[in-house]
Amino acid sequence: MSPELLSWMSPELLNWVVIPAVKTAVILAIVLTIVAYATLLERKVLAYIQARVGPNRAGPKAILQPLADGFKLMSKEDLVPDGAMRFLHLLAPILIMVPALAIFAFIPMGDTTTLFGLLEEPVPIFVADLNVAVLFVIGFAGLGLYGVVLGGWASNSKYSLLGALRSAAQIVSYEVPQALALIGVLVLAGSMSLVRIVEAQREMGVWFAFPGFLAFFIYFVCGVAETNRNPFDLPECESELVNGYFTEYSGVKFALFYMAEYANILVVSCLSTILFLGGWLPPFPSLAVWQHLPSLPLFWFLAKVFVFIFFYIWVRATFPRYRFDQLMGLMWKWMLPLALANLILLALVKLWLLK
Amino acid sequence: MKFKDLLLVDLLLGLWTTIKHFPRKKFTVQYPEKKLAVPQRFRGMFRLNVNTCLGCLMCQNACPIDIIHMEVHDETTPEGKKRKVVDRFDIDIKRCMFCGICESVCPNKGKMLTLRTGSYEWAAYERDHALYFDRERLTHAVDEYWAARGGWPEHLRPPDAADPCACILPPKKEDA
Amino acid sequence: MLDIQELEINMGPQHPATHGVLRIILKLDGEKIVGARPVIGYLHRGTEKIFESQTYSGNVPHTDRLDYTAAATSNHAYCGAVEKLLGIEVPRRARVVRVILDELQRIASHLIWLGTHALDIGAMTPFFYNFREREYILDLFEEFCGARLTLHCMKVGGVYDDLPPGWIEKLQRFIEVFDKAVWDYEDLLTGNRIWKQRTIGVGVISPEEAIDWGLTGPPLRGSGVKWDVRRALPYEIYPELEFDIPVGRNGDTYDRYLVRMEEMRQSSRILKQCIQKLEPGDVVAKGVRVLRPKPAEVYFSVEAPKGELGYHILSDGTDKPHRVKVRPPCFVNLQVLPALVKGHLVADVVAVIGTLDIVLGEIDR
Ligand code: SF4
Ligand code: SF4
Repeated sequence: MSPELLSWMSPELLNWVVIPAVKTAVILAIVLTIVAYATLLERKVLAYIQARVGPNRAGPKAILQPLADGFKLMSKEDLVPDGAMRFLHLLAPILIMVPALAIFAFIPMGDTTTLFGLLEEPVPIFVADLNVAVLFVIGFAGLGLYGVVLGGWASNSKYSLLGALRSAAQIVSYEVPQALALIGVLVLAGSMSLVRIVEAQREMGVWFAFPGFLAFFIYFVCGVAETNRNPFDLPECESELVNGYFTEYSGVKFALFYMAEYANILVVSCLSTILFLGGWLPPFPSLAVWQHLPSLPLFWFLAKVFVFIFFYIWVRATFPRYRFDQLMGLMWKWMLPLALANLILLALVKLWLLK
Repeated sequence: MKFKDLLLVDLLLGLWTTIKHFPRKKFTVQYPEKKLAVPQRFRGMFRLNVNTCLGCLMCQNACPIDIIHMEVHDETTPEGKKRKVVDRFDIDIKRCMFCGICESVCPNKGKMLTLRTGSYEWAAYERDHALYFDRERLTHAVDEYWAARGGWPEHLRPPDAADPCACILPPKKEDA
Repeated sequence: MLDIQELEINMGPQHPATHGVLRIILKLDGEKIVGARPVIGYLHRGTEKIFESQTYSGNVPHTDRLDYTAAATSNHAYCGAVEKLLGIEVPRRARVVRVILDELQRIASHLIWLGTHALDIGAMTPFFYNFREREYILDLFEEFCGARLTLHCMKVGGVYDDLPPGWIEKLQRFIEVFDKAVWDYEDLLTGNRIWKQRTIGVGVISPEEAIDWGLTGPPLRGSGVKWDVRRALPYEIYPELEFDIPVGRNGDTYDRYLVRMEEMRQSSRILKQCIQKLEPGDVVAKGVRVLRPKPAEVYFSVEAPKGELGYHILSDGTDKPHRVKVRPPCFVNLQVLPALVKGHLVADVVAVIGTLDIVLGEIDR
């Protein structure tokens, strides 16, 4: 794309509207593809762990499976149970999907790119670098709860209601230690911008996962709870509550809930990568070798995210499920004190070691 | 709480157990392409040899749910021997529980009425195709089944099986 | 002042965790259970009535369909009762074969229990490993009697056929595989802190209460009562065999889990001894053609995987029983469910249902 082609646009229009719009579209496309294939990955990995082969019929190596699933769900009848609040019933899956996708606006998948020399000026690979991005992310992640609670409430089903109640109880338990764990990282980085946090890791030459291993652990555990995954999949555990808050959903709305779960996993994986594993930086970024190798920001980033997603699936395959009072006990009695201790620890580390 | 618990040893052990299976051989059999060989004693669909059936009605009487319906008539062969000819031999397959009692009471077990045919793919497109078997179907169905699959497996082949099913049914009373 | 109501929910008859068509009406205060009432009968087929209209030998396949996860022990209990009624002496080889079948069935049934119990508590992977091992057992059954689930593998007076050639070698190979595979299950669950938190102290029943409720099988032994029909009312060749009866201490879900795990190991131990004890011989008693017992009354029970499975038969001199009463272990064990779950949370209901190891085919009959 040559600069002349774009010259009819004023620089303001270009910088404030066109480029962000294009980037948003690209990132949405990437995210939705990853989400779709995360479902396939999950089924395959679970199957391999469980001594079976998993889906392998839709296309070679089940490449078309997400498409097939999508078509199946779209062709299903959209059932609304008797006595449900139609508007809220429709709103809930949207409310859970939108914040999950919105967060990706702030997630830097790399620093800058010239698209292999296509562009003259390097463009950053993120939509927005907000100086309070971490706050935004926490806020948006919390918004997803409305989807769950509304879905459970509007369905007019007791199982859904119980799922929604559990979800509400769960979120107040995990958000506090999660936020505290994040504060530890903010202390280390000295900034709330996600880009700055990665830069800080480059400057210090160490991933925050090492000094902040406690924070990393707490964030991971809370992330599992946030995404309602085993062992904390209480709001939707099928053996107790049938399907929890989305028991009464079908068709496209069900698909939205289903995809939101994977979008959330992707969010948490991306954030863990950025906050603790140095985002798009290669391992041990201060090593001299990296000077001579091409920097592959997107590769490192996606590789780390993949590791996280794999770990999520692995954990799901392994552990039994906590009971909901036990989850609250774990979060309040163990994770919260741990997070506080970690905060002090990281403050001291920052003070003395990483000046 | 012991120190060991703080290291999450139990959880790591579980993670190790599951990941151990990740690269291992999978146990799934890709069904329509690959089929498991059934053992010789497998109780599959019935096969009746109506010519050797003595018409003794043992199977009809033994069936616990009374789904074998038979009619026989007496006949004298040209050699002067008395024998029973089976006019009707119906099995209400849809109710059958494939318990094998009828087979086990049959004199000269396994020659006349047998379940040991190793056939299990009896899903059908027509509604009445696999619900009720009469004398003709009982005689031919399994032979046709195996003919369509390239012949009987050796360990299951009954001595009287011919691959294009050649069995000629004895005439019924009203035909005679 | 808010009007606070108890929430009443229907768990089942279509619910992923109720193991069949059990329906439980739960009264909840928040998530706490204040009352539970099992409703049964969705699978009622009138089996006991069917028994009256069939001959003694024609009834055996119907017993498969009671506890369909443990058809061999059902067959055994019924055949044993009829043999007791008629005074038939079962040949020795048939006795050993029956014990082999029973113990294989016990392992198979416990594997289903473990898989579904773990699945209910959220661990999905043991289910697949369990079913992989169970598949070996079903293959063995299929080779022996021609069916995998509704076996109909025994007849009055013995078993239908002798063991096929090569079967014992396959059995030995299975035992080897199984002894190793049990450790996988243990690694996944026994030490796991989540599993322990979910099961220890859940659904506790004291030994006295357990006896009062008439519990048998692992739910009774989990409370520490050493009572096993194989030892208490010995049948077949059990008196000659060496095996331990594992008992629990606290009577909670975790103890019942441990008891069943140990029982699977003991079963594998019994299988090894049975292979040694196999001698050539008949597998069916001679001269058992028409079964026409004199008017009498017998009760015969075996240790089914789920507890004491007994058949009470009343004969009236014809070739059909006058009345057959089944004592199904699941039916008796299920009745403690309301007592066990009271005061616990909804999540514990599935743990308790799982630990009782019920099969609706046997409860409803
Ligand atoms: S297999 Fe059993 S149910 Fe079927 S016809 Fe024979 S005796 Fe009757
Ligand atoms: S099939 Fe066997 S039992 Fe039945 S009538 Fe013929 S010979 Fe007798």
